[in-house]
Amino acid sequence: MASNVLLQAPFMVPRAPKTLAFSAAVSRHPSAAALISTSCSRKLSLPKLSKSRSFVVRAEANAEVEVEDSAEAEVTQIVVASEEKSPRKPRIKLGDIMGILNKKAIEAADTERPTPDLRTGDVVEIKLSENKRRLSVYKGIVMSKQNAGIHTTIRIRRIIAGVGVEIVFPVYSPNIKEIKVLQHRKVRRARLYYLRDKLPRLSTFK
Amino acid sequence: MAASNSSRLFKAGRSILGGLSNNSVGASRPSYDMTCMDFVSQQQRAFIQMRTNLKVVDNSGAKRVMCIQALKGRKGARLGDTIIASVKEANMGGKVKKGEVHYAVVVRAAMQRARCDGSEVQFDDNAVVLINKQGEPIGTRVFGPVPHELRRKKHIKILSLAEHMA
Repeated sequence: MASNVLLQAPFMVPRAPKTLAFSAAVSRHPSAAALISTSCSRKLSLPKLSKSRSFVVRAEANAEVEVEDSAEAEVTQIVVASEEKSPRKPRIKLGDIMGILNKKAIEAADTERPTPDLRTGDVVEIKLSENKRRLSVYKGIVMSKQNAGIHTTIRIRRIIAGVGVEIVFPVYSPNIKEIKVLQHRKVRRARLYYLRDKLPRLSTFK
Repeated sequence: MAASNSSRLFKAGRSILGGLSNNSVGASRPSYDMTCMDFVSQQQRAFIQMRTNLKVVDNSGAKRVMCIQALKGRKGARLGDTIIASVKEANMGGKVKKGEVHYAVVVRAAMQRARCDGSEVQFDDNAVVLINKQGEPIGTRVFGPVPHELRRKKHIKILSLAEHMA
């Protein structure tokens, strides 16, 4: 008798999601163990989250829910037919994890503040917020760009009050309120360390 | 000054190597030597330690100063640290004379100093401001830019005297 109730339960699920309460009441009536009713109600409660959409519940340990248009339930076990799913997700290998995490972090940072495409030789202006009050402005030429995922940094050089100053900024930092490219200087190098030995005039920007 | 010296060495080395390569046949050798030289002359900025010469950027009268003790840090002083320095060169009629020993705070360092938001700051030269034992500057003006690190170290007077804050 218990098996009969169990057999009825999967068929009840896809056909009439609206009459869930009724079927739950029906299943409680027989004097079978409360275990069955709880299992039935558990299976029935999951589809309630769908809001009038037929579900097929995968009877695995973690009990994931898959959205399916056509309900297909086997007798002994409720299994999701994997052939009906759209292309199988490729397995995530160990070596890809950092790349994926970095990409996600960059996307999250991009939604807050769009970052322009920066190249060596750009003269940029960076607005940094320190101490939540002042907005300090840093101008200068991009000497180098080190690509490291979320910790991509650019090195800005400028002559301030007669002294050359180089500052390394992490591009995707939340402290940076704005990055603006003012102009671009044609350079034939990826890193402009030669500017340290040249005349200060080449590193001065109004 | 040190930067231009090291790069001049590099340029001199390159010309010598260029001469050698003209005589020798192998074309691969110059590139190998170039990478070795590159690594050596790639500016390894270091701490400020005993015998380091520093520039003085206030109007206390001193011009050049030699560090005789870095007060904090086993390897040496960095940006924002205090040192004990001996005056090596001084202006006539200034507040300090040659040979005097004073405390000084490093306001510009060629070695990069990391900040808590992930950025780093470095200057082109090493410079100090002379202070007394209590931390007040001896001079009345400070030239050149000073970093924000001085705020954490409670050198507010120097920050207020500065021309520009980096």
